[in-house]
Amino acid sequence: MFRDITLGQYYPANSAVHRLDPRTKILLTIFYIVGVFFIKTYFSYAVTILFLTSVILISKIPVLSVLKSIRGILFLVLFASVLNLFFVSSGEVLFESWITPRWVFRITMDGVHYSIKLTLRLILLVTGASLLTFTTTPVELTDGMESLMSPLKLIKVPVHDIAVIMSIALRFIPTLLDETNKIMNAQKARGASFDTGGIVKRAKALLPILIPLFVSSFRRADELAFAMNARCYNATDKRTKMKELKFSLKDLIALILVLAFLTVVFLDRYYFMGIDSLLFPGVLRCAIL
Amino acid sequence: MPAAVEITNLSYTYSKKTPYEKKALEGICFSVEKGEFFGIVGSTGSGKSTLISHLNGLLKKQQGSVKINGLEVEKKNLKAVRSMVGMVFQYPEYQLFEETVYKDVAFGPKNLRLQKDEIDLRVKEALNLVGLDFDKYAERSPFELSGGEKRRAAIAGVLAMRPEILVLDEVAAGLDPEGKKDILALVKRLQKTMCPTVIFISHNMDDVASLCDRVAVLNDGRLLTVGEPRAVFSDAKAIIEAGLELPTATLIQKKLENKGINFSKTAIKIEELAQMLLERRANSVS
Repeated sequence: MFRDITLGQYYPANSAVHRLDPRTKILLTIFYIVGVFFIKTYFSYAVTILFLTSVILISKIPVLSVLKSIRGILFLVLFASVLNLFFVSSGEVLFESWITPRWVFRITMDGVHYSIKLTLRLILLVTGASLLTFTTTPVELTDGMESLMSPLKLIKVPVHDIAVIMSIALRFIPTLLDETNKIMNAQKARGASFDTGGIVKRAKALLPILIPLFVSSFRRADELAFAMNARCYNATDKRTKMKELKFSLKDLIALILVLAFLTVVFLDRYYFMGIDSLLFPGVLRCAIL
Repeated sequence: MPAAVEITNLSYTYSKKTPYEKKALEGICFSVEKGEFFGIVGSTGSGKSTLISHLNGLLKKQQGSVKINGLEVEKKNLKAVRSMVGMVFQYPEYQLFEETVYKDVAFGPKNLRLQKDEIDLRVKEALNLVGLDFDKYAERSPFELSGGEKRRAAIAGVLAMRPEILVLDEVAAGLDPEGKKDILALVKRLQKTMCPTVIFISHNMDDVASLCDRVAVLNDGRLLTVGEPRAVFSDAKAIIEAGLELPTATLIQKKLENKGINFSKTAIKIEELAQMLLERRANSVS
């Protein structure tokens, strides 16, 4: 069951996207997310989908496994879009029914557009962000974060400590999942069942897993601390890295491509909006978009 | 009478259709008779753990069939199968979780929904079998026991289910020589008293040679051979190719044979080898 959790979902492949500097990838992902929030028109959404699809294709990750990352937010997306369908009340009315004299159930054209755009936005955000974790190993990710956060050292933020804690935590996720699996199997073999009964019963059924898991995590933490001490680990000294991060031409090209994408989105939002007003006249009057 | 365990054509692949795809088992066929002490050996990653996980349905079968006492291991039989097959995993002491040894051992019987006095009886019986004094240990926390005691308590937790088939995965791993001897003696005792059929997984070929009636050798997810330990270990080349070691006695015998001393049969236990050497000397003197 734990194989389905998409955390540390790195997908090994040899592609240009995989080889980018992790710092570039983190920054560009942030740019992309900001860009998606500025999208206003269907034309821009089309451009974004095209852009994202080409990045996925370049990264050689099967499109299906990227789409799987949407599964986790499917409920959220559905909930949000259905709710918005009912609560946006401006625009041309499509359906109306008075439940009580003061309550009206109304679906409008603006609501429909808003729901569609919200769905697209959420899906594009999640797939885009998961592309980062698909193409970057957790270790690269923390290295990149550490490097990006290093200016904070000036105001005495223990950036290196945070990075070490993060990479250890990430490193131990698979180990702990493995451990959880083993303990679950052992308790199942003693007749425990984890997926029957009500909420209280299920929560109680987790105790035989959680307690051994905590005990072994503390044991592991202790052992790791001893091992690090024994090898003279010292966080205060200036440490060198086995793999130094280096920007290269690839990173510049990626940056230019993302900037080009952002330019299209921004220009479309503030200057053109032409294609959409032809396709859906009146849509853009909608205040909330 | 159906065999205790009957495995036919069992195959299993991890992470199917991803870049991490790995074939763990391929076309495994063998059976374990009732009352047998059956060994499974193989190097790390040879599929031993995957194989035993099928014995009580912890892994869902992909291909092939596994029968326990004639009962197919599948979803609707899981409860029955799990009460027949007792599993002692590697380092079983890591699964202890209750406040007292009593409660931990009672976890299994409780899941079987037994009456309170029946649970009481079984806990007493199980602790007694593993050699932990009920009055002394029942109310102690399992976390304050010594390593060997913890392992016994964990084994008691499995025995309290009264399994007919006991599966032991590296049951002596990580114990000191004294603790190891005790545990192996316990396993032998258990086979005589409670669980007639024992499936014993070990990296220690000396233990396998001295305890098992028959041995299955796994290599890379395939079944290399099944047979009596003497027959299996006499093919030294195959054993070494499977990434395993020979029992100490067989190894010494091989070295002696290289020096020109020949033997009529393969020795697998130290006592046997000593006996054979004594006979040799007696013969050469006369």
